[in-house]
Amino acid sequence: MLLGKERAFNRWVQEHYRFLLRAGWALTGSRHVAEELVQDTFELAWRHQKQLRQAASAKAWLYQILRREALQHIRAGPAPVSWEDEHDNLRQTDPAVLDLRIDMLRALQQLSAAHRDILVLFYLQDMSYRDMADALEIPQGTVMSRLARARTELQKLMKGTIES
Amino acid sequence: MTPETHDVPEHDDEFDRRMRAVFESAMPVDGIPGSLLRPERHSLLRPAALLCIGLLVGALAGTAIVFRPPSLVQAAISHERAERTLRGNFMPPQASVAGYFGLAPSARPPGLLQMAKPCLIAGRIAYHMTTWLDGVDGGGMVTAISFAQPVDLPERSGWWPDTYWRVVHTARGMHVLLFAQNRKAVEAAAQRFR
Repeated sequence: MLLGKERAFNRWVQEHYRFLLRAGWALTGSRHVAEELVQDTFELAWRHQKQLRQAASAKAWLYQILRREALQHIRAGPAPVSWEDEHDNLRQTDPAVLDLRIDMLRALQQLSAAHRDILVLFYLQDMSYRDMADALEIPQGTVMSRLARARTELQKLMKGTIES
Repeated sequence: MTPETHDVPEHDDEFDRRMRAVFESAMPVDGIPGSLLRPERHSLLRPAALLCIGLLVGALAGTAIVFRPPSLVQAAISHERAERTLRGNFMPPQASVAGYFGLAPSARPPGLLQMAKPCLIAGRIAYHMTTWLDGVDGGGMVTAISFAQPVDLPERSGWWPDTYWRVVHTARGMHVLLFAQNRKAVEAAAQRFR
């Protein structure tokens, strides 16, 4: 078991990295912050892996960690942005994709944290209600109602973007 | 907290499909940074297993080298396979045959002579004799090969690949190669050529 820990951990990273980075990006609005959050998330996951009782819930458990880290980051106030990095990032991005990203992130930032959370899980990962309930630590019924309201709200905010 | 009773579509509607596409394309993700991956320790069993396999392969290779006959012996065995069905060819007087194999002119070649003929084995002129040794563990067909020119074949024996072989140095200094599928037949013939 001990000998396979690193290998199992690396499998987690490979399986969940994309989702966690996008989730962190959507929650904070910054890719650079998301990269740091993902790094911290995997570090914490490594240190507390005993808390993970079953591999099937790894995604929900990792998201819980990421979400807490993101909330702490948001509470601490906006982090200084490396404009050099942002500029490089923008230069390499297709203008159409950039518009889409700005609209989407702006819409997400206008939502409440609870609605943003649930939409990230729904659209990025297509999680089941049960997994979303685990990840957000709320009852399954609340997931359903909250998702319905968050969708309606996002629909209004993204109306122009989606129609164009 | 009382659960609210809003409905969520069971399947994606058009808006959901488009939003998934927006999420996908708006946040491209490249490869996984190597810093996230942990160096994997290898099982302690793996080096041990590799060592065992290496030793086994080495032992088998060593065995194969030890028992692999000299190339001239290999060539002679292959030659015999090609001519196995020949019988009664080039049947000179038995005294001549004895001379070709380093025996005294008065000596008789062992067994019931089936065939004797000159051949070319690995570019060397050789005398090829097949004889049937009766009464040796059910009997056995033995092939004896001698070479017209001196060859460097030490007195050795082996099994390759389904043939027992032995090199005998005769009293007259000739090197005779004997082989058969019956090991006892080879041993019996060797006694007669010494």
